[in-house]
Amino acid sequence: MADAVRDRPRSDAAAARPAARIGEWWIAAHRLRRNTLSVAGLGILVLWAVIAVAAPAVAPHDPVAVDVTARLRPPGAGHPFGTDFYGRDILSRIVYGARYDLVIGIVAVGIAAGGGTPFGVVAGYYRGYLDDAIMRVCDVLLAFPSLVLALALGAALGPGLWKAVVAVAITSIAGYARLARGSTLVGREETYVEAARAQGASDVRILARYVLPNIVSPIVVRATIGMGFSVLLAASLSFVGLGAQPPTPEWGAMINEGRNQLVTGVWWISTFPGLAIMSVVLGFNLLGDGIRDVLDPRGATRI
Amino acid sequence: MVRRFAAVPPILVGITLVTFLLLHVVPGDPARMYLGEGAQDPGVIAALRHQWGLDRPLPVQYVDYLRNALSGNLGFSIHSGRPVADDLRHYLPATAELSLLSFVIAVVLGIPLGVLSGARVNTATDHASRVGSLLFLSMPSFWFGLIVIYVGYFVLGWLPSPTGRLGMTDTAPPAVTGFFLVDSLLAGDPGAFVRALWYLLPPAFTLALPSLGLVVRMLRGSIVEVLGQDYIRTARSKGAAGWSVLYRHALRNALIPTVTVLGVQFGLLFSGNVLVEAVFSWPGIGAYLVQAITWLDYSAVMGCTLLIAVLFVAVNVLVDLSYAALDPRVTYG
Repeated sequence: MADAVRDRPRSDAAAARPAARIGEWWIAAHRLRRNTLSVAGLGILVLWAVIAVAAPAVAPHDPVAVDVTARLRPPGAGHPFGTDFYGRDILSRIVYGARYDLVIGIVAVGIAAGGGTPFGVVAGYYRGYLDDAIMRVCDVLLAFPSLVLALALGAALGPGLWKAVVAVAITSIAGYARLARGSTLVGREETYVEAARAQGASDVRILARYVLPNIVSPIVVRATIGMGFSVLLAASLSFVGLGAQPPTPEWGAMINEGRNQLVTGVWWISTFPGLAIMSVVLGFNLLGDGIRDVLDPRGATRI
Repeated sequence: MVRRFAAVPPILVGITLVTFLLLHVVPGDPARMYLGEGAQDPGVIAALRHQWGLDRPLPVQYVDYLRNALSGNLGFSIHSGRPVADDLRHYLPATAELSLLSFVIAVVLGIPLGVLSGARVNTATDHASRVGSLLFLSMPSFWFGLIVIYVGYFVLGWLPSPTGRLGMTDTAPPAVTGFFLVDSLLAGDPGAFVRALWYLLPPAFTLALPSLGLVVRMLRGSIVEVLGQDYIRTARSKGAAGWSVLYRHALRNALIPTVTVLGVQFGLLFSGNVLVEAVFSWPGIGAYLVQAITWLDYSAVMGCTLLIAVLFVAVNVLVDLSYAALDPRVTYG
């Protein structure tokens, strides 16, 4: 898919040589498949997606059902990951938590990339005052370390899972805008853009058909790795009580719930959600690495 | 060079604008919150709002906020009962000491590991260091801190208690710089130095891991790329020894992108601190920020945010300058 996306601006010519296109397609898929680590990353994510969708079938218990007779049970028969302070089954909470954490990552990046890219494209294509104004705002947003900006935004918006997602999205919006702007600056100078303009194509058509397809690959690479980072950031907000609220089985909030129990030797409440976060973020990072290698022109020589 | 500096003041103004606006969108009226649930006399609330200047137009309030911030007045902290600026000054040394040490750990461990990994591509060493560095980048540091405390302190008893810079019964060295490592040496007390270092290491190591992972990954990539260059082949063909090629020819060129990343990481250490400090009860800016968030202490939250962002910008400028010193090809117009 990757190479097909990159070649779309040349699609008029490429349509005439489907064999070559299929060939490139195959090479791209082959390269991604040869990268064992990326395939492993994709595998982890697919597994979590399946778990999230099939949560009611996978989870042995109700994730929010309180059972005072089964409080703080260590991992063992009936509760493979143990139970928490309220007797809730940790495994079931992690299974249902996948629904939150995966969606958090995807939605946060969707808002950030979907919101930032148009600004960057417009800034890079039209230049001038508009460009200056948009980039100055980006400079300011990028002047904050993302965790601190997310915490400040989260504090101002108040506690809540979706507010935390918005806070996380705002912190990364400027990065996408700047990336899209850089790619647009290169793209608008291409000969085929000039040719399209000479043929009388409107700005909207040039942007949608010739400029945008070229900036898709860097955005996709950034977005893939960004999803892992967003999951970490949102979990951090939940950990300090700004994100998901109890009894939502969000992984960051679960780590926070188990935090005070560690002193009494109850390690399982915090440990397992942390491993879950780590595996999802690792999956996004591995996949992102692989996609970058495939899409990066320099990577082409390394095959 | 001039242009690099000229870009800074507008960014700083922008930062204060953001923290100001965030202070004003917070849920709840500060006057109402200050008076508590019981006091809902509209006259009293209006009087208080007038006294605090909250009834004036936003731009006027912003100019006031900016003037106050410039003169070091960041408002009053509800949860500590002191001016926010005093609190920040009080907590900054602990944060700076922790950040510096964890940065040193990331560099001292990261550079050799990255070089090793890049020079031995696709060996077991390489695979181990790649997987390890990715894991470090993928885990929540606050979670790893909890694991370190649980295993290292509660189970094994090898590590110090998570009680901050020292144990409950220890006394701090006489304050000169605010850095316990420095102050203990100035006081001529090696025992206190070792004790301070002992308490510093677990949080510093926890904080260092993500940066360490990033350094290893960056440096490995650069080393692999540089080792494929013609001048490396030239050096080899002239008979230079393997280690000499690696350290004298490859490393210097490969380090340039890593230095940039390290610079950004150094600025980020101040923000990575936030949750790690909270987990280790480290009495720094980060733990203060987390407390402020739970107390809905907005002046303190935005004060911390402002300070951390300004430090981040300052560090980035310094990094750009050092980048120019390292690579003569870089100039700032």
